[in-house]
Amino acid sequence: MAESKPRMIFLGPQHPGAPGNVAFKVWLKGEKVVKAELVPGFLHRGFEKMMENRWWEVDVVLSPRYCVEDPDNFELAYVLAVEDLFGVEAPEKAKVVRTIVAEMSRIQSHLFWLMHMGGATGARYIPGWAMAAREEILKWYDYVTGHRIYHHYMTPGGIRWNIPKDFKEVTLRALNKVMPIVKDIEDAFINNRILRARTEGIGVVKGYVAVQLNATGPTLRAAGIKYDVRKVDPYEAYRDVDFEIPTGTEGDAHDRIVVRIREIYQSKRIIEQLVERVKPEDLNYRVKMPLLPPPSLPWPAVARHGEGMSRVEAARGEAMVHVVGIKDRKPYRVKLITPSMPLLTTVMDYIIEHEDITIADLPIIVMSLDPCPPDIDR
Amino acid sequence: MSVAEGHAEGKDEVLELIRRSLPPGKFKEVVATRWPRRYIVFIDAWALRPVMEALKVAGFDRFIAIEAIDWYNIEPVFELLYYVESVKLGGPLVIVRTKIPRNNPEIDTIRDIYPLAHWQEIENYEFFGIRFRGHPDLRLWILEDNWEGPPPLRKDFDTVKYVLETYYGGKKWERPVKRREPPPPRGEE
Repeated sequence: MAESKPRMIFLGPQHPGAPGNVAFKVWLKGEKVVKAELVPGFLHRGFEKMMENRWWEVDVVLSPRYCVEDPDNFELAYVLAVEDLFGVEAPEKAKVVRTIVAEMSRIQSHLFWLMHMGGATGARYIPGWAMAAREEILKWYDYVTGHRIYHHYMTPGGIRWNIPKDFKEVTLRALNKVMPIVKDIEDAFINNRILRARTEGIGVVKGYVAVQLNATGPTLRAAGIKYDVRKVDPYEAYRDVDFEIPTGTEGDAHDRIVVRIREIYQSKRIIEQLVERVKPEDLNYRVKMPLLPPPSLPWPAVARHGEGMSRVEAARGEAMVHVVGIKDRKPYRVKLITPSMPLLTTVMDYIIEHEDITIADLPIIVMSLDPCPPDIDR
Repeated sequence: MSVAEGHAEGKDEVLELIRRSLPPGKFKEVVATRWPRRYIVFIDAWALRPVMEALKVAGFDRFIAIEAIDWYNIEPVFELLYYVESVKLGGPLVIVRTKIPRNNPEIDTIRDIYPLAHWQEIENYEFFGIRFRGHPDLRLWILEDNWEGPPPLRKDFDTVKYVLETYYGGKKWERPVKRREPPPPRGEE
């Protein structure tokens, strides 16, 4: 028989196994995946250009919108960059509250991902459980910030309004409702024999290879590399909080699941430590921001222009924002550096090149990397 | 606030490492910034490849992104910022900054040094029109099938003007609907 030619099919953007608004061109030989190419751009809205045409404080509203699942960490990145440029430091209370909000965002992002992961592996009960747990966090957000999905609770100089009087009780109550469900998911899903058979030894990115592929976040940590921006370059209240960085050993899809579940427990630990330190009666939660950034120094010394930068650990990995301001009400340039691009390009290419993957494995691998496609498009 | 303010006090080992490992004569300046453990290397565009290779050997192993800034009215250049960090050394970050002329934006590719640079270069090609010499696959990627205008993130591109000219009563207003050719009749050969 003659050698058959690879056949190209589209996976996504509406496929249930695709992680969101992104497609893959997949070349198949029989059932075996020969090559997969990313087709991004379904959710490109030109955030960087939009932010150049709006005021500094208005851009806060745009800053979280390129990732539905994990909005607050990206919002925090933008707010920190603007504060850095203006030379303003937020009060201690604002820093602590922002850290709590960002950690809650990490938990809800991981729960959202658990829903996808359950869907990709065919464990139909997991999505319901995970979304029920996420709903508790959304209710908490609704109570504290006034919004469910995009919160805009942080603002350059602090937080937008004071926390409610029963902040501590509400937060702990929300966590107490979420954590039993996480424990249930752990018992029913993580050690499940069928899940292990489908995820162990699949999608292996192990050891230093992950760094060479420029991967970041839980993918890097599941590969066994202890690297977390919250530890290596601490920001906000992470300096004086006690937590661990969970790492994997094998670097396969199952390790990535385990690492994320353990990260939920660490986030809970961080929130429980911080919630003791905020007091609703303390009214020093925001400082006034100047309207214009400080005057820039004379040209042509390039780096002497006003610049602000921030570096945060979002749920998917390291996110950075770089803002450039000339003396204007609007930013001159905002660069959003987001974590998902390496996961779906270099890491995916590496996995497909080094493993025998069938089309049924592909959704599991893509979902276990947990990309957020809109942050590739921006 | 300016970046180069507040040089780190005392001896900075990573700064010394960067100075020592970069090829002499190929960089202009290495500075510690006011951000702790973040450094800037100023270079000329022709020295990009040797500098990035030296940084990779020195342990700056994770490539993060390429950023382009269009200094349109202030100076006719694109400024390129290459972000690399070191997982091996525990987190220091280096930004390599260079400028290329705005009327002929061309620079060497580094896609063989860091794999992610391949995709970052495509992104900068489509949004700024910067050509990367030696890159085999410069094309529209995020804007694929969807864009016919100039590179949209350049400062001289006015979004509102373009939209009004093109869509609302403009070139693409009430454009004729492309109909498919009817399939050839079957069976009669």
